[in-house]
Amino acid sequence: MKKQIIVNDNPIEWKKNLTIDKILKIMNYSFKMLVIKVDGKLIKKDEYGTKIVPENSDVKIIHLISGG
Amino acid sequence: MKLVELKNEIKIGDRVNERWNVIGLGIHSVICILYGRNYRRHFYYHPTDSGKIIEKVERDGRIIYSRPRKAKKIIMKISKKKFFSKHDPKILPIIRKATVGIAGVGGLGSNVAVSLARVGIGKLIIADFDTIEASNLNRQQYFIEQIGKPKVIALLENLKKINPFSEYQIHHIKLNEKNIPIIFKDVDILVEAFDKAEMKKMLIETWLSEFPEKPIIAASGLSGYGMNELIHTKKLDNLYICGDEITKLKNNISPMAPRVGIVANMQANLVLEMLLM
Repeated sequence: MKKQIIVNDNPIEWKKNLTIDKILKIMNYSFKMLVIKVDGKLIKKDEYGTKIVPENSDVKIIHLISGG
Repeated sequence: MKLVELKNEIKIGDRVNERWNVIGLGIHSVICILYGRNYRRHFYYHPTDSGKIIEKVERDGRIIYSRPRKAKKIIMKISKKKFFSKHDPKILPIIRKATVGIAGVGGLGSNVAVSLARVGIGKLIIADFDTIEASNLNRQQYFIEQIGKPKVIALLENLKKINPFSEYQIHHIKLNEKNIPIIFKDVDILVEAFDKAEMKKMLIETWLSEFPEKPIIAASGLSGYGMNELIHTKKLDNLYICGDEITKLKNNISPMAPRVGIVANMQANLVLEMLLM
């Protein structure tokens, strides 16, 4: 079986050195205002390029939209 | 029950002397009034302190003097017992003990505040830096005669007219990473009710970092009209998102009352659900 992670309830293939930036690219997410949690832990913007997402992680990406 | 009408003593826009103008009023021990060079003057009102307003003047952060001021008292015409007579007695004690924070009181926040005041939440802590403009009236819980006033001041007036038996703490301030943990440290639940996405992100990230054990209820995607079926609630541990997570603001067009009201009341509804869990 292929190694995978879950991104917003969708399984995607896990590769070595998978970062948040790479996940955003794979998912085709081009939004800027995001709140991201990996296994319940908040990941801040400066970690998007460096934080390695381990195999079997549950990644949640929320897109914040102006208006209120 | 006796309440003090602070605004009868001092009004926004009053000129106290050549240096000090009243720029904001508060009740229940908050809000700073009057700025001038390094001076900062505060008035505090304590409901338990026999209706006295304490005036305090600081210079360069040091208190120069502090004195009680006389305040006009008004007797409430309705009784607390009657006000709460149709509230569910099983859940009322929990609601009365709760403290809820509301960050931003525009379309979302003013509606959340009105609902939570009607429900009888014990204490609301409310913060916003903005003043009311005519264009806000399409969706925000203010009135024509309040245009030009700081939103927190106008909302306090309105909430007291709806439910004078809860405590309202207002902060006329622009929220940032530093003051959010101070202002909202005592809340059980925080409601994110900002307009701009970058402010939403800043608040959520600050909250999740500072108080990971306390819930925050945010909103994202509430513009336009119709599409009831797309509005939902999403839960990520202690972070909740209400809205459709899709609809963007069109250029210079405000969200409209029905959809903003729906999402705001979903946030308020979730506050209750979590308090009563």
